[in-house]
Amino acid sequence: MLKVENLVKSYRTVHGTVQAVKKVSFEVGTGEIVTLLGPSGCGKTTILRCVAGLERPDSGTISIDGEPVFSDSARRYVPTHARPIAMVFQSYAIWPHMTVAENVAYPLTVGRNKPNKREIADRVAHALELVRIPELAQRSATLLSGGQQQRVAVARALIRKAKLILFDEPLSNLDAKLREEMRIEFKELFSREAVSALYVTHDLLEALVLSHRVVVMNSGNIAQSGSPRDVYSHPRDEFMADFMGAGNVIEGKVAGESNGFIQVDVGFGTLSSASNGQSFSKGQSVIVAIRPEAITLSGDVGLLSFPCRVLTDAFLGTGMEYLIALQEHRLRVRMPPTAAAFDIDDEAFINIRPESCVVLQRLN
Amino acid sequence: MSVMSSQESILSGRRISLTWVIQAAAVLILLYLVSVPLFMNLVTAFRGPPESLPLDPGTFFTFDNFKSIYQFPRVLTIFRDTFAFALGSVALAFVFGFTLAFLVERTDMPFKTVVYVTALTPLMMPTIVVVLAWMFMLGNSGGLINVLIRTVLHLPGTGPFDVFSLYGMIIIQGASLIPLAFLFSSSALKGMAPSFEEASAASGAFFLTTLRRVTLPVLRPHLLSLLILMFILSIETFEVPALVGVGAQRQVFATEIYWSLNPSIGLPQYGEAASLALTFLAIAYFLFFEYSRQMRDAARFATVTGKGFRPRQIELGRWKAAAFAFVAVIGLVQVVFPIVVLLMASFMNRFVVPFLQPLPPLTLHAYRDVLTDPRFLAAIPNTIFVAGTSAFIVSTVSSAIAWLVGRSSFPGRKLLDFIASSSVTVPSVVVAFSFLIFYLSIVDWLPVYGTIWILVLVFSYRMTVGYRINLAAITQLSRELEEASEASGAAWPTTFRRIVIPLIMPSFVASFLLVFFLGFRDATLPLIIGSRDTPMLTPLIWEHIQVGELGPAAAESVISLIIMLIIGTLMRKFLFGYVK
Repeated sequence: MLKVENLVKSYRTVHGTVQAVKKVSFEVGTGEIVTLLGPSGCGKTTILRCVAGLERPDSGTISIDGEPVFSDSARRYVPTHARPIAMVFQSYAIWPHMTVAENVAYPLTVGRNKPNKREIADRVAHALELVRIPELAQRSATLLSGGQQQRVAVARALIRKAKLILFDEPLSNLDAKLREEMRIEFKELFSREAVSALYVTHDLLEALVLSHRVVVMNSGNIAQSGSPRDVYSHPRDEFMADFMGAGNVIEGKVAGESNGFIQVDVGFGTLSSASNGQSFSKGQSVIVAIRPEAITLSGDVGLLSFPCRVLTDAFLGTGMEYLIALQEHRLRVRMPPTAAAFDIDDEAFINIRPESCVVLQRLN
Repeated sequence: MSVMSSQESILSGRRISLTWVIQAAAVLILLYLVSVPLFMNLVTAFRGPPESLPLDPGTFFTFDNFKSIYQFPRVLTIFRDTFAFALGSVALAFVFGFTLAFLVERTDMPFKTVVYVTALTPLMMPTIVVVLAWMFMLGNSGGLINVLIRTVLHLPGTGPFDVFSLYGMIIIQGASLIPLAFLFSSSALKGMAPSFEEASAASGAFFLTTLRRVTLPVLRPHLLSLLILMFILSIETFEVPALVGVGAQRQVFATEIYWSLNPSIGLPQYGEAASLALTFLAIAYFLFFEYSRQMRDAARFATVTGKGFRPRQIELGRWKAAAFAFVAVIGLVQVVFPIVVLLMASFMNRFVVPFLQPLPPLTLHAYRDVLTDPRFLAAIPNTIFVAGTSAFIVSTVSSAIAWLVGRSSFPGRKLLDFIASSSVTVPSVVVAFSFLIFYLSIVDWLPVYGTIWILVLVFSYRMTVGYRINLAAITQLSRELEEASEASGAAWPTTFRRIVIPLIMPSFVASFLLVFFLGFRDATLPLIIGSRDTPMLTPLIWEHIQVGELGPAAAESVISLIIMLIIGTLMRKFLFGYVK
């Protein structure tokens, strides 16, 4: 549905030229939801705005549904209004001088083939039905809550039956609870309406929940892309591990390999961890990423356990998080609420599950 | 990029051409209205002989105009009087205006709406009417305030005040600036995050300490820019020094230029007026740069939090009565007294203090004279037409310029912004004079001089007011509102018509109303550039005051105020009704 090839976009600032997007290529299939995920300033919004035609790329090609909308070699640039897209903005951009129904109807009234009044009314009603706010149709747009504005923005994007819908951090202005609700509602709506979408977010969980495929961006490049499960459990490098919330990162040297696990010497002992499909040579400097939930804290010494001291404890509701000291390392440990509790300064032992650790090449 | 732009013009041709047409038209109108006459002024300053227009045959390049201006002690006198007058007025207006704003924004003083009415009503009154009212209030022997003070303190003779003095000028100008000082200070106080002051109070500081150590330093750029703006307005005001300063033997830039053009003997001295105007302009531009710098600092201080919390209010306790007395005195002097003296003078042909002096019989003479004067009857539609047409030109052009500066990537943006926002700097007298020589010089090609259209043109000069309002509206408008329309499939003209225009309509209407009333009030421009064939209201009042016919002047003032009130009410009802 969407094909982006070798996209380059730079900005001129007072400090010189900044390359926001460096030769990025990816695709969105029909009926597929692809998220561009990354920290702020990674170039994800720039890509989205290039696809929308709100920014003009320096080079590369963008085609939507087989039609090129931008190509520097073919000297082609289709303006935003002529692209077969719809877009949901971060600020929602609900026009304050119109009612909800007028906002939603707008895309049908500005195009070349205007439907008749009756059809417009039917489609507005249907779109508001889809986002579950049919009762708000005649309300002035200035009298909406954040969540309601969000729904109006989505209805306005759906009504055009565009080939591709673009989402620019649509949930980032909502409070945490509402965000959680909308996330799951979006997912259901997208699959029911068979929407093809490019979705920009900086929220990891949002990307994991919503998308078929996640494209993680880092300073203008694609850091990794794949299914949510794949990028979450097999981060390719240190940046990815950090961004995926690995929690604990320990430096070490490769000591050997056994049973499909890499043995890494980390100073206080040897850690077994998954290789993530990459190969390492003996003595190579690497990083081991360990999720807080991959570590078990217990009062008894066991096979392959290391002695540690509890520094602080925090109640999370869904469990306990401890900060423990293991020689010069400080590690975060997350335990289920049913596990035995520890107090500050307790001496204890940790056990690290090899299958939940990942060995990564060091970034330079 | 340059390769691509040719492609853009093919694929989205409508966008480019329409944008281009708007850009070109707005820029040309702006340049024509603002820059061309000033350029003529520059040329005239260096042309001689001084009584000739710069393009007349037989004129030559010379420095003589400056030589005749920069004669000691004349130039020293002008500088001294101008600055003493301006500094005094600014100080007076700031002390009263800031105190009023502080009382409203930061204390629990009662009847706050009274303060708003008191502080803002004078904005409605033409300066020339205000000056006339002050003549009745501060007249040396029979002035209302003087008589009241003499009666209370049992003083004999005349005085204690004399309106025809430097301090008389300062009182009038200072009082007329209080509304501006109040509005500016109160919006600065409103915009300041209350947590700054609360943190100081929580550290144990008394409110005066907080005011001195936190409030004033945080607002320093805002308040400095206010002081500079008031200074610019004071050195440019013409009505006050012209009517009051003459009796006091005070010469300021504005009046000196006027007298060079209207000497008591001999021909108009164009060259001399131009070189005076150029010096005046240089001072004003220097101040304007200072003002812009302070405004940038003010923006950096970014005190606004966006949270609508009311700041903590200081409890006045037993000072409540004193605070209210302060407001009441300002209200009496600014609103009640002027209206009373004008009404009485218009119905009695002169002014006497009621209860203390025997009242002359009431008469409708003044009104009958005024309402049978064909020039006055012509002046009413003229003034409405000129103020209305120029307000329409200013709000249309300034909103287009504001869109160009705020939204487009037009390369001359910075320059446009400078021209549009600096027209406030050019003193009215200089504007009027520049238009006069420009249209006198080209009268053979463009016979605008002597018609009502030259007034429309010169009144349209004041772009800054409309530009500021519209620029604020456009930059506050989220860019995403326009992008959402494009992403919905709307081409640029549709987006502009259906999204941009409706959203900036309130600011468009506000700028129209403001420019209309500023024009209605103005006396300087029509006085210098008007002709006998195109009478306007304020110059007629001026003429009567000049020859001492204060009764008719008062009657004309009262009628003008009533017309403004009616038009203001109607327009607000009609225009804002339309917007809603």
